[in-house]
Amino acid sequence: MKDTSNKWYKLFIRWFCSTNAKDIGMMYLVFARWSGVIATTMSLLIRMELRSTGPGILAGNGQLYNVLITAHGLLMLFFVVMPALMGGFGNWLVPVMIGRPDMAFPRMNNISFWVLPMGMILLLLSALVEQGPGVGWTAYPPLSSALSHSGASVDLAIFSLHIIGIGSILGSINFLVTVANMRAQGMTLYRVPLFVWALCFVSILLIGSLPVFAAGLTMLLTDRNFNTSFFLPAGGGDVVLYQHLFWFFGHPEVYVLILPAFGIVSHVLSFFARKPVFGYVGMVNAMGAIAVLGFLVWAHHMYTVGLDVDTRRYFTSATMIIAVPTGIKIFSWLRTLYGGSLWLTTPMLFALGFLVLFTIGGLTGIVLANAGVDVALHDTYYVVRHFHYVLSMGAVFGIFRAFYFWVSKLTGCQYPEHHGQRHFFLFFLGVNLTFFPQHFLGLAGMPRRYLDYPDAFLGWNVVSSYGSYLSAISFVYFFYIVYLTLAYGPKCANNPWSDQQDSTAGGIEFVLPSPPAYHTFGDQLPVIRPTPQLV
Amino acid sequence: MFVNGRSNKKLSTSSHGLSRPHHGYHLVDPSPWPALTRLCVMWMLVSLVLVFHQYAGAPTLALIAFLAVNYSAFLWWRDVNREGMEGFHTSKVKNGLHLGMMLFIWSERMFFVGLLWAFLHAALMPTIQVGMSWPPVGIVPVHWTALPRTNTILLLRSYFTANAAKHAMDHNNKSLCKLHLRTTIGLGLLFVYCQYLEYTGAAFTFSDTVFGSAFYLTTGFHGLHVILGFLYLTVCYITLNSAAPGRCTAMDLAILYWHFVDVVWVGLLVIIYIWGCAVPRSELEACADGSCALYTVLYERKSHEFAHPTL
Repeated sequence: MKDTSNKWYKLFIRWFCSTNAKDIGMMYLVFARWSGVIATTMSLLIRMELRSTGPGILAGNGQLYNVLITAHGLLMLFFVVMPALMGGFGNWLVPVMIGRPDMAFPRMNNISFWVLPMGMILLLLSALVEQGPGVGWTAYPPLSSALSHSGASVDLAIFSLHIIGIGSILGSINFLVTVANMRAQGMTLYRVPLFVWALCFVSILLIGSLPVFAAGLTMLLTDRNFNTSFFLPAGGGDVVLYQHLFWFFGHPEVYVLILPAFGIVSHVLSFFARKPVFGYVGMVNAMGAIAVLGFLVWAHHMYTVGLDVDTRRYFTSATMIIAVPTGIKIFSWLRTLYGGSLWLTTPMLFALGFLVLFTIGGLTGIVLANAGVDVALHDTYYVVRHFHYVLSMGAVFGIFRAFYFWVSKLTGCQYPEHHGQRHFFLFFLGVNLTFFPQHFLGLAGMPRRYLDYPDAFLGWNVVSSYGSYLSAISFVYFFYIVYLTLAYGPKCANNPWSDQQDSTAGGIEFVLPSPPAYHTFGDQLPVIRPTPQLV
Repeated sequence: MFVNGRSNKKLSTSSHGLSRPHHGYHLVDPSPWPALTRLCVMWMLVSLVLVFHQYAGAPTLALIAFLAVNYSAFLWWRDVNREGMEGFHTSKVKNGLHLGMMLFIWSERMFFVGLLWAFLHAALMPTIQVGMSWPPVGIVPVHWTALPRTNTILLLRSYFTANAAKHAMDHNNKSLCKLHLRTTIGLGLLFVYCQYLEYTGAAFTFSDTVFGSAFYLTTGFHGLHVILGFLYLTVCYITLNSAAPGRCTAMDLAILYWHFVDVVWVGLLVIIYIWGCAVPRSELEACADGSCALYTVLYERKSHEFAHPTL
């Protein structure tokens, strides 16, 4: 007979064989934090190299530089932001918010998480064999084809993306089925919390776009290894086809990263403005519109490949239209704040910072949406800065916001408020110092993905590098705060914010103990009723 | 489910047969199969990379890994089947399984959209390197009235028999259901055999221009899905004795999957075989003097069949 009291056996059963959404969510969060360390270190190495002209810390090894930017991009997207926002907070909060004990397919949930460490191993292996994949996260052929990267590294990277892609599809199916099939009694579609809605749209985006990317990657794989010619002009292939297949996935992917942050900001703003979110129905439909339009704008990443004018005109218009639902969301958030009794906690600061910085990032997105302007700005630091403002200050702010808002609910320990606020200001200053100068570098024409640059660009690059050091320090500080929270954090009431807030405010998660039961609502399922109108 | 009688109340409350929860959802016990599956998948991927780069002994490693993936998936689904027999699959759970399968099929469909996108991208804008014609100059395509037409008949017939099996099960006529399932599986096998004949008889390979690449990758993945489909149906056939009307979710989903395979075939037939393999009449006339490879192959058969259907 098996000794079930053995602690290793318990460890194996609880974490390795886990079928519990909360445990799996916690593993996602821990995994995202540690891959965040690797990815941040890589960004730091990149900025150290760009600290000065000429050979720097990488000793003029351009291939190594390319491997670093590739791994930084892939890790941040697939191993930090998606696991944290979708896997981590999604698994923790979606079943709770819809009033159910667990996800629809717990075993599938387990494999959706555990393929991530596998993908991570494959990706790191790919950097360690031969010359590493210096292809950029987009992996365009011919740079990624057998001619330029003949070793096994790109194959390993492709398989890494395949396996985590499968994991994301399975996770998305799980979320959609959970929300469609398992909502609490009385929770009609227009009573579903906005974070849950956001994850539904994310799942739709992933299920629709990832398989197309998988097809493109498979073609790249056969081009590299089986002598096919999908992307080989000599055999009638076309490298632009890869870009189409990639960006048909790649553009929905950026909404995958930002939509959960949208959901979280709605929760945080309405909670700390002590008002219901303004225009809930509009918020839901704006996210839906973003999700639908997200499928129809992919070629705005390809303005310089030689698309004809009509095509570019269409993609310019369609891209601009996305500003409409995004604007609806921004103005609804502002209206949520207006007239509210604001309580400036750390999550609220991260939400307000998000509002400002995401808007700045979004506005430069409108600039870049113009096919004509983009010809000048394509592949410059202007683009780098644009997507770092919306991701590093949109999605990553979302992770921190969600952490500070819900850590007390997840662990039962409250973070130290003054440390949290200091972390916010440090991080806010760091990322702005890093990325704001890149406007000027981009407009001056500094191209991305180069390890060296003319002396004229030195000044702003130095500022940018010091900014990145500051944000790295703030990241270390964040780890210290996590330590303080878990080691010394005070135990929380059902509503951790209750000493200054009506304890019935907020979502369904705030009427549960902190942390909630292993299987929430395992014995008695909740019934949702509309709140009586107060005004 | 994997260790009988193991009951750790702290880890999984009220999911055992004796004390049923007060809700219709299935809180699954901890299971080692997902962890085993992903380890085997990882092993398979690494050994595939070794195969690609001609490491000695790698094909054996990859083959064993492939079998291991299949075995771990088998163990996983055997648990699902046992849980179904123990009554964990309430109507809510079945509804979830149906939805999950539909979403999975949706993602599979998008995979084929990607593959057909590649085919159309190459076919609509044939480059100068392949003679700016489609099929590329020098390629003798498969004609749709040969094996693809037979295959279409086989699959459409199996569409009908699969539905008939479902219908027979609804009326609790198991012997009829078995007959129809057998027929469906047999038709699927025949389809794969015909694909094998088509591949071995075709005058172009995987490496012959983007036409060969897109043709074999797309039809090959479809063939793979047919194989998966009839394996799935075979499992349902074997376990049919424990099924009953309203308790045959696996078979319902297998038939749903089979319909998906059929529908994809229709897309392939129209886009790849009928439209994509049709030789322009101008090209036929240009080689009427017998100066090119097309002439010898086409004119010695029934050349008029190769004309573009729209011209």
